[in-house]
Amino acid sequence: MKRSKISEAVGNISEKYIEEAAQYRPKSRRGIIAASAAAAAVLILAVTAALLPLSKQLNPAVSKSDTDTHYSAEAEDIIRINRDDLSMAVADMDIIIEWYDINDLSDEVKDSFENRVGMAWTDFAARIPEGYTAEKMWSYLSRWDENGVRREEYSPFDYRFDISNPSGGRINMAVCGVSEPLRDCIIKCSGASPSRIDGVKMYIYEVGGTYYTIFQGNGIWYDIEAQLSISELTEFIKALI
Amino acid sequence: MTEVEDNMIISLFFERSEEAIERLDEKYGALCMSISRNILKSEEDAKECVNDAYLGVWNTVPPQNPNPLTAYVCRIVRNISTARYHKNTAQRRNSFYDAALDELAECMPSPDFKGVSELTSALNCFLGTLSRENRVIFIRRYWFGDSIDAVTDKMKLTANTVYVRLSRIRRRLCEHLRKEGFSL
Repeated sequence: MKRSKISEAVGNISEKYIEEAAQYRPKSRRGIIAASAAAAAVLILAVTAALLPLSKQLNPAVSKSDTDTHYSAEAEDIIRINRDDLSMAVADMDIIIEWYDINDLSDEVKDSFENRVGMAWTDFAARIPEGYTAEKMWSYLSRWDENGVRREEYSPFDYRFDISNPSGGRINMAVCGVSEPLRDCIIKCSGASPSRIDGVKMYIYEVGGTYYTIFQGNGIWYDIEAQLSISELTEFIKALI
Repeated sequence: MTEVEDNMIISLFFERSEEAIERLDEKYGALCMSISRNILKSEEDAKECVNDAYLGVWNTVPPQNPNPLTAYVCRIVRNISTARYHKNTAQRRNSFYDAALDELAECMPSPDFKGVSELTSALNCFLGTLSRENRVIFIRRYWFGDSIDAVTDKMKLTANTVYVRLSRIRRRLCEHLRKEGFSL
């Protein structure tokens, strides 16, 4: 087909799409777990447990003033672990879980991953630091979209990975490019102190030896639950960012 | 200065105030220039086309009362710029627009195909099946003629991601057009 005809056919496409592309701005989103609670509550169907005072029930050894501040070798990084005055809501989610063989992903799964995460699968896999192994991958399919609109069909909302390292560290990580990933537990903490890693602000919580954080790096939302040392966690996050 | 609302600009055109062109240029000048520059790869030609487009808006508003104004102005700029591009093609090529058209040619109907309006309808239908982000990537590349770098910048994605996505969108477009009965 002649170039002029291609140009003409494309040139006449609907104005609504031209307007959409002209006005498009990548979404900016909030990056704290406490704030995510409200958004997550829209997406989940029912909260089945009352708020639990975790600092007393799950982590009784934590002292009242137990918000640590560590400064890393790079002066600009600030690591603060919030352990006190936490509460957690556990939720049932109306989701379907699909499992994938991480070593044999179909083009369809890769396309879907890229659509939701905003990054090609190969680019993403390259970000997992050396020494860490992604053992399992699955997707949460939800009928709710990131705007809280309910659809008839379930479709992938976010992608999740079980990751381990040789020293026995374990990470459960969810990623999504359009919204914070869905959570089946919501941490609340008043007066939490933020950390900053490679310029990215995030809130890190520790409950029962597991670190929890949500942050956005390169336009992707990461939701991490990690049983690692804090230095391992910091290095892992830096690799993602 | 605060950006003027579209309806204020249109009111100025209706009043036949010369300030209308100033405000239009203030708000949309950069966007119009980028569209025209992408197609023509010539600052001088692009400026002329954008000025011609402003004149086009002046001559058509009123009676037209475009809503949205962005798409209306952009389309006039694009039409004038592509007309200039086709006129110049024999002497001068190598714009971003050439590269974009070459990519798209892979999944377009055979050379003897004449039904441009049918193809536009199929494209509209296809665009409706894409995610918003993929649709914007497609439009920025093939309608606005943005370079890959410009799309990358606009979408806050990596260049590789944009390449891969465009490639997959084109592949899906081929499948869509075949299903719609086009001979590729």
